[in-house]
Amino acid sequence: MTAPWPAEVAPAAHAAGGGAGVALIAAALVLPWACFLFFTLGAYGHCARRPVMALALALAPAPAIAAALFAPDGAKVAADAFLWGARFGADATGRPFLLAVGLTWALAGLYAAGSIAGSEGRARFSGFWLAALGGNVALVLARDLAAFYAGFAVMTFAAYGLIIHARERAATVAGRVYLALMLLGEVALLAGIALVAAAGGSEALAFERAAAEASGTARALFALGFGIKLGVLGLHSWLPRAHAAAPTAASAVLSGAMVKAGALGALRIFGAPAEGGPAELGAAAAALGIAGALYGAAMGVWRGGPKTALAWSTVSQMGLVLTLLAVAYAAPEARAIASATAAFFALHHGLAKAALFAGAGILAFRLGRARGAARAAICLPALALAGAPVTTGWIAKSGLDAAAELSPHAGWLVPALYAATMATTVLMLRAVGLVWAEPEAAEGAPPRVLWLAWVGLLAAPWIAGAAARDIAPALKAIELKGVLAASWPIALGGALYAAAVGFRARGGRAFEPRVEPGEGAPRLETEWRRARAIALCAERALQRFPVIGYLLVATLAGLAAALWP
Amino acid sequence: MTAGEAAAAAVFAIPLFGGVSAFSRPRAGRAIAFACAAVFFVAAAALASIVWARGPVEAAIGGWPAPVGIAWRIDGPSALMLLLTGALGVAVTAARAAEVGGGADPEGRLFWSLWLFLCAGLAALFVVADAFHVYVALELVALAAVALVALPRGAALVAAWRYFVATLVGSTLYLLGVAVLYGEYGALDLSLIGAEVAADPASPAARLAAASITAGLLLKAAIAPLHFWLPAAHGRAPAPVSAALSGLVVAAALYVLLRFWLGPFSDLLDAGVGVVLAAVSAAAALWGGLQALAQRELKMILAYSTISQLGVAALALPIAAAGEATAAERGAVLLLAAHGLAKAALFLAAGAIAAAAGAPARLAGPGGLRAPGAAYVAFALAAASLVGLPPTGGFAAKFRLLEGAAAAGAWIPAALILAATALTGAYLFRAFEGMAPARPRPGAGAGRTRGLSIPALALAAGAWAMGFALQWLEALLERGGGTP
Repeated sequence: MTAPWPAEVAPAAHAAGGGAGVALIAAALVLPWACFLFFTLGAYGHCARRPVMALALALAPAPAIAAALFAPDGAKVAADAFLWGARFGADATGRPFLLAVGLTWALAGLYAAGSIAGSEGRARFSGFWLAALGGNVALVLARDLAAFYAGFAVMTFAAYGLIIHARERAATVAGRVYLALMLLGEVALLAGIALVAAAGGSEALAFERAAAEASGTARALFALGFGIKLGVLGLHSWLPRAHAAAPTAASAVLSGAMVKAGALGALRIFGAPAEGGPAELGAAAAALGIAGALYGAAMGVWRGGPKTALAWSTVSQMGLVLTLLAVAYAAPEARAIASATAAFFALHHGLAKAALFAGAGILAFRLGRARGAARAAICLPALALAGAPVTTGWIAKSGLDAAAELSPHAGWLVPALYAATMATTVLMLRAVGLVWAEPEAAEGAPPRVLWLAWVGLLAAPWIAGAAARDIAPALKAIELKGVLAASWPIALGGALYAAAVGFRARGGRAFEPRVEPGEGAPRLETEWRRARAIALCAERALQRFPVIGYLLVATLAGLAAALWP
Repeated sequence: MTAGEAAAAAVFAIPLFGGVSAFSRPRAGRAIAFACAAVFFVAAAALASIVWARGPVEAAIGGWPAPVGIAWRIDGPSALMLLLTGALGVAVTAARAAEVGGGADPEGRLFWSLWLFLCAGLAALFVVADAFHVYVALELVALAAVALVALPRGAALVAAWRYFVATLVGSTLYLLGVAVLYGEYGALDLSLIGAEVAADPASPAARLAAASITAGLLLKAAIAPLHFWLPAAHGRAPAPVSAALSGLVVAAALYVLLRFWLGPFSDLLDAGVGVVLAAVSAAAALWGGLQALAQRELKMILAYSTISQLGVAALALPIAAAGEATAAERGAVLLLAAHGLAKAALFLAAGAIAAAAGAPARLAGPGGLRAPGAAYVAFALAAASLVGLPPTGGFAAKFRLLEGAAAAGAWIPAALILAATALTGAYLFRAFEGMAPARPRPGAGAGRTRGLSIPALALAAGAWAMGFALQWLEALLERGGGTP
């Protein structure tokens, strides 16, 4: 069966001259920051009213969408004054990411305007939102490591402000875990970039050279930094907490757009492995990805709360992205398909996950007669994530299977992917069940702009799927799986879920929702208090004059001993 | 007299005469300070552009050349430090004027003249090129700074006393080293001393002098474990004074230390010395960071953060010892400049928060500290530069240091810089977590709050602007950097 691709979406625009493309890219980079200045300078005033906020948050990513669709590959923006000079431009690898970033941020921005605009701290929220957006767009468009890292770091730290927005205890704890891991990741990336620059000068930071020249240590540091962002199994602990604690709109962009920065970075650096890169690494990473996919699904089913389940689903799905990246790294013959699918997967998952988060948020309002329609509509992105036919998940899963079959580990990878699809189906059913079961608010219908945002998010995957062939040409090589072949793992997963629900209905306890406990937090706090007391006590001792005298003499003696000829 | 010499004379003479006239005409003190700060800034900017265009400015005062007269030498790094002094001078003057407000200012007579003497001392320190006049400038800076700390009286006197003892011992050790050098070589000019040391690096006199000068400057730069005086002095002083002390005065001592080790003593900088200097820098970078993490008062967090950041800048010395002197000097001077802007902005923002609350700013659980919007934004922007978020000046500086360390294979300093960065992130986010933006209450504190927030915002913007003027800054630092 061949792919039912629609007609080419924007052939004319691709042929358009570079000038328009350059303008689009420049606008994509600058507009979020212009809006950011508007909100931070206006923090004193009252400019964060709902229509203003909706307009700014929805339109700030619009040039990024346009650039993803229309800017030709050659269009580059040179920002010579930025650090040591930076180049920005759209390319085949980044294009799907740019589309995902633009669409997710724009529609989630509408949602944010609808849900946050009335509350206190909306100007602050908008400021962090736009800064994170500005960083995210910049990192996708960046053509070298320094600019990428700049965008990456700005996005990461601005997102902290989004996560702790509610300033409840859970948000504070989530913010701390997020920050601890992100600082580790940032430091690893910084060290990696410094290693690359020390070996080859600042010209070596261009992605083409960095991918080829980075040393083994630098690669390991990059893998750590990107792995933390991607929520790879073992480095994922920030992800469920942060998503559960953040406002719905922030969870949507966190899962839908920001997490993908790790995948993009990995594609840029590891897209073409260095000569003699150990093949076992690829197999190990693929296995880690599959393990993450299964573990994430299991935890999502176990741990209660719709947002927590959706967050664990991101861990699970990013496991699949890691598998794709590993295949691209280890198998040269599968590289083109695996890389393109990883990028498309990021787009598809971003939009579907943002739609799920937004739907979960809307279903918590009082909907009245619209509730039935909303309940039905939230199944669409869930089906897409499971990989059902006629959704973007169909394309993504077909690409995933095609890449797995081409890889040297097809023997265990292909069955493992079927298991992952089943696990995803169970998790999605579970998440939808949890969302459906949420008690309806007694009063308060959602603002109309929330509906607008959600309908947009539900429709966006089809637009994206239609544009996919343009923005990621390697996807043309994928043969879509037959409807039956795509459906049976989903059906099996559904049966599994039904059996489990039946078991629970007869008194089994396996599916009791477990609320994420703040385990370890009190013990850590006691230890922190003790450590703090010791540190303060030691510092007081260091400030006593006799001690100071000894220290001065010791310093002098040390210097003299080292200097003695 | 060339334009460069005129500008160099202006940065030193204008604040000096301003200080004298502010003392004799106390009612005009504020106006004099504003005028001097503005002229200082313009002259420093002119000097920097002259150095950038034509290379180092050298002058022999009164036409007497080096062994006899006073030599001035302004190269790229010293021009950048002068520019930093000028920028902070304007911001601190504006902040202090706003803090005092329109009412009677009992300390005004002393404050403005001391503040201008401090600027004159800093200018002299960055301009002169001989070891003895560095001592004179260090003393002028130290005495003015101690007096500024002591001005509020009360508990501040204790802090000022400890500061005085520290800086006196430091000056004595420094002077001892200079005396040894003069006795051995009969020269005070840094380049002449450098030539003599290079001719006979094994000379015990040179090594004794190096040890003594280094210990004295480590004490003045508050490099742990010799930091005992700094937290109280910086934490207790009024916000604008803390900003100037943290951003300029300690940084100036460290700058002199860097100049000595990368200049006249560069032939003594071997692996053994590198280990000792790495040990003290590491102690400062890590201990300062840990203590900042343990503090509750916002200004104390910032004071300990200064110890930590200067420790990171001092790591340039072990990196230079490993063979990357140029990259190390560039990174360290950039770090001093970026830290000066960011830390002054943070102190002024803390002052604005305290002025809005009418009480010292203490962390009280997540979001417990109400921060006026502009101070909150300034704090966030300056914190980003201090952590080293690209594209700020703090990032560029740390990146250059890391790059130098990686190129020299100095893995321990590189790991220390990264660890200190992570600690910086931790304590600044702890402070940030404790703050919640709130509209300032209208009332007596509103004018002071705004008057402190706006210079803080400007300085934080300056720290970000460094990332966009980086190529110019690095070209400036190349002018006559390294061995004077």
